[in-house]
Amino acid sequence: MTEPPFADRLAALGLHRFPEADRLGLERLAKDVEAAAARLRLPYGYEEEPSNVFRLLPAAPKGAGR
Amino acid sequence: MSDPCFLTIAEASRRIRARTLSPVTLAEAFLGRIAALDGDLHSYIRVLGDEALAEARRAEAEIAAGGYRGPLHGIPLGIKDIYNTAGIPTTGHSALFRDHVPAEDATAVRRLRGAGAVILGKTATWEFAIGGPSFDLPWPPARNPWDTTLDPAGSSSGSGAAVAAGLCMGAMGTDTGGSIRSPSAWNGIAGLKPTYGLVSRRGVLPLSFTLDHAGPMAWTAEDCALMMDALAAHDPLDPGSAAPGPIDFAGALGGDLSGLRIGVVRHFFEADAPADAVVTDAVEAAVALYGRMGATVREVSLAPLETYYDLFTLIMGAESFSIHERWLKETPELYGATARQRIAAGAFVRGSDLVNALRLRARLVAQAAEVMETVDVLLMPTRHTPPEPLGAFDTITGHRFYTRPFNVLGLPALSVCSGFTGNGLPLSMQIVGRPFEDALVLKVGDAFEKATGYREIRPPLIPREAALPVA
Repeated sequence: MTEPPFADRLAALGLHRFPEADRLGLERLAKDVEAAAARLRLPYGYEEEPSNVFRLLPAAPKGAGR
Repeated sequence: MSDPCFLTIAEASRRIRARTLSPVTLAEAFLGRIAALDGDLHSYIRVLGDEALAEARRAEAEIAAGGYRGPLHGIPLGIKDIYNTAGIPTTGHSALFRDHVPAEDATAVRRLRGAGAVILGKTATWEFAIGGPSFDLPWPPARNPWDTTLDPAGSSSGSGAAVAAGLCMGAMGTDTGGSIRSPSAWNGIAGLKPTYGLVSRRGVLPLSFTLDHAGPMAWTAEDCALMMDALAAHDPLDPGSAAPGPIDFAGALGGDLSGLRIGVVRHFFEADAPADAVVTDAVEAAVALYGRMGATVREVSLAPLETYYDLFTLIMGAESFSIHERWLKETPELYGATARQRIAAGAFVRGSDLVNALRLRARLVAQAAEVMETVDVLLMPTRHTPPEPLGAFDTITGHRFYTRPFNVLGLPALSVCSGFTGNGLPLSMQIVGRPFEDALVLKVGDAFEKATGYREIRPPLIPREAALPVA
């Protein structure tokens, strides 16, 4: 499948106001992002969970005076 | 050394406590030096002269009345201009935030003020801690005091330059991929990226929520420890804040290093991204010195540097774009070109690829923990070269260096000056510890500084062509 022109990709992302002068540089960085992503598409275990700092804290009992 | 601007925080605080050094005299000396020299260096974008003098007078009166608060009382500091300061513009060095005047201090600033520090001003940064060094922003980029034609590195460039030049005794930096340690390296000072969660990020303009760290920059590791004693505390208003309990950073310094196990991550700087020989030689000399101090040294391996870079690219990209998306769509012209491009690149991160990066991050954290069961600290250079010319280094596609892995891993990492090139430019090395063992990292850095004479050498602060004879 042919990739759409970069200007179309920017417009689809809502970045149609992105300055013309910077678009070549951004396109180069977008390719770096896509190359990095491709290198990280490794086999991951079905239950292999991401790093995760989400921690729930128990609610304070009613009347604990928060 | 007679100039009070070249005292360390440790020495100045001893004199202030003994009332042989006046905080007002000290603040006046720094403000005078800033007025004389910062026109070339551009390390500050806002100097708080009247406010600083008022704080210094208050400190002096409190100390005279027996109310000495501790080692930061009356000590002049700089604050990177991405830390909120109540009633004082906090711009992120960006036209976008030119009129941003926060109502409250960032927690770190509040804690420093509570310890009695005197805030001299807001220091230059790369735009939003990512876009720089840039010449298309409302303020010029900071320059390197060892040679003003050179780059001080970033993003905490003004903080690094100001500390090295004697324009403040310590400063706050932030570090998402190396932004405390890189300018510490190229300005020849000490800078600690603490363990993730140890210093509050509340009130610091965010760049990447899971990679951002706040921390101190100062002339010595000991001074960083004194700042950490004031800074480290649980902050319920920072969702990433940890509560490891009290840590005595300055109290951990000293003593010998017998039995310390050092792991050298040689593949980073010999194979993955080879460092200049002068950088490597300085690290080898440090390894030999630590051996003479009683440490044992062995080589260890982590994942390839490129893997950390890939993770960083995806995580930082997605997180920073999520923060800036609205402004990049509505007013992209208010950014400089470098920040605009680097942040917008995050729009191209797919959701599943971000989750892959976070899954791999968990693996790398576990792998590093295994390695660090066999050694107490890791050692490697901070930057692969000495300082380079300002404007010559492409921060978008530039070289690899050795700081980003420890943002991905969240481990404490200290950069210290490891020596000098033949023409007097600073070299650097990085000491990395286990989570919340920041005090040990500082102890190892402090021992190196005290065993060498490198902390006696200050930058000439004049153009290098004039400073040194041409060979």
